[in-house]
Amino acid sequence: MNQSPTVFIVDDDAAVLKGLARLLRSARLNVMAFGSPQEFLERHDPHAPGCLVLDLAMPGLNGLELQTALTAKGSAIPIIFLTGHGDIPTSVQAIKRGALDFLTKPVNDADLLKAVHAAIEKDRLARLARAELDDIQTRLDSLTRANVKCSPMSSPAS
Amino acid sequence: MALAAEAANLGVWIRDLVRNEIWASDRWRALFGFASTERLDLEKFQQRLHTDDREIFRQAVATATSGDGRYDVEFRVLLPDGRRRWIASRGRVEFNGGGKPVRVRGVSMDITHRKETEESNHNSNELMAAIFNSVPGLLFLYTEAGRLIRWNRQHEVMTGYSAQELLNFRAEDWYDAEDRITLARVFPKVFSEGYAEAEMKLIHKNGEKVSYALTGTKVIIDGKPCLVGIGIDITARKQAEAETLRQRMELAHLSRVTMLGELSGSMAHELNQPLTAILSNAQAAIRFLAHNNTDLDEVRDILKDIVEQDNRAGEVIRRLRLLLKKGEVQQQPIDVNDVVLEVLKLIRSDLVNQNVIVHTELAADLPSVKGDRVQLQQVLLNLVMNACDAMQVNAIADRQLRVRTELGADKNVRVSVSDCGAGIASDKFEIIFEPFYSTKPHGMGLGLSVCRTIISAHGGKLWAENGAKRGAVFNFTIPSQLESQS
Repeated sequence: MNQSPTVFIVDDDAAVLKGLARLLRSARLNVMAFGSPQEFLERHDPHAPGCLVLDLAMPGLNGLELQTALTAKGSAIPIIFLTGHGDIPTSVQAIKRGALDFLTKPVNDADLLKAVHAAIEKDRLARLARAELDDIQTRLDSLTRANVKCSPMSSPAS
Repeated sequence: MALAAEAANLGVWIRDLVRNEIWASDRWRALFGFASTERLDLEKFQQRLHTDDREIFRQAVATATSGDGRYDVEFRVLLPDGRRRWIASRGRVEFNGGGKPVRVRGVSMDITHRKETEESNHNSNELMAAIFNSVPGLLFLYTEAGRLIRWNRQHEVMTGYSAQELLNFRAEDWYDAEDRITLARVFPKVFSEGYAEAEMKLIHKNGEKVSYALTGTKVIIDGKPCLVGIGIDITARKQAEAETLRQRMELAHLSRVTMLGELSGSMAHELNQPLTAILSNAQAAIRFLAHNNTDLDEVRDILKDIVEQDNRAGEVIRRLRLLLKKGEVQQQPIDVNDVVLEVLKLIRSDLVNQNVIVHTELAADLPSVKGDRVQLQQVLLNLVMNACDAMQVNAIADRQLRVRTELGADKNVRVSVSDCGAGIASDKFEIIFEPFYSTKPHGMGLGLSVCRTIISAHGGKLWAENGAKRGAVFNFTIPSQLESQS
């Protein structure tokens, strides 16, 4: 549970991917880079803490589709979208589906790092909240089980 | 004497001026259409004369009787059966002791044949002169040595030189150094092969160079080979050709700029990628350098990447500028496969955005074609963009674009662009190439018509058909340089 957070980057442009990864590493962040959305989807562990920096326009599966696939997989990883052109309908759609931020290329380091740190923090809090919730659920479950043990005849209506 | 005259086909006659009687041989009577027994006098004779020639006859008689007695006249006669005949009469007047003319003796002969030949020669000379002067261009006759010996009126008008000045002209006098090389090639060709033609600029007396289409044909005149030919002023045609070319270039450029407008988003993206990489790398380097014990190898690597990405951005700009350029059409050897790959690079992000998957089947060892690189890029770009548009309504997995190059049996390089769209209605295969025909709401309808003009100018063909299963296929062919060598 005390795993340090990782920034995952997905961009089909090798040069951009390498540059962004470097920038994040220069800010002493853990980075994992992926050249395609498919590759990320196959290898992503939903339990790993961190955030995703995702290029919007990619061949095959685009950023929005990856977002949908992740949600379906039960991953709640915060996503920062990168786009070449600030296409408003697409950004609205992405934000509505829970994208954390929407940055335009070329992205300035200050903007990117601010967004990444915010995302990591959000992920940390979300995981904390989920852990608490899990904890409560666990206790509730054990309570319920104890209750069942004490009074096997009780019914929800009583 | 009479016998000899008959043998020479001459009619003999004696006219008695005092008694107004004419004695004539049978041959003479036959010439004038009189019976051999008929009694003849001046009046009867004169009736046979062509009315226009009666005065000539009267004058000839008057001259002979008042002068040295020589009678010599040519006149036309009309025979009773309607035939016409030219007659030459020669004779001598006999005078009495008092110097008074009393008799004329003479001979007559039929000169119809000679007269008609003369007349037709005269006519054909007149005809020749008329033709010479009615040609709306230069007409000239040169000796084999290159001396101008005959020309028409127009020649003087159109070149500004008087007949006197033209008399000493030589063929090479008309041309500048460059055209003299052409002349040295075509002038002897007329004499060796009988005919030659060329386009050259004649220098007008005022120094102006005027474009002419010139022909020369060999003729033998008085046993010597000569060159007869014509020259037509083609300035207007040349100007029209230049104007057509200019308009075609303008239109191609306009259509290119329009297309690039549609592509601008894609172009911006193509520039954004290297710029993003450069910025991230540079900012990463600044941070790495601020760390204790900086990894200098990493920084070196970063700088190398920055240079690389800068070149990449420069390349995008170069391609864009090339397409926007409005310049002379360049004829150079082109590898069509290169053009395909360049165009796909240009439009890459557009294809990605539209989820179009491209399959290329590029023939290895494709011979080069001769043409204008930018214009061929324009054609391909247009076909690829149309194909993408045609598949916009398709499901994402169903947007497949195929670009194929091959060398045909006819030694033409063939390029096909196929899509998976709805295809083309069978009655629209030709209409789509007409200017201002468009299926797009904001289309100008110039794209395909300009494409076809471009391909035609390259000596090729552009046509549309439907794919074997579905979709449309646009094909164009361009003669390969293999063909021009064979």
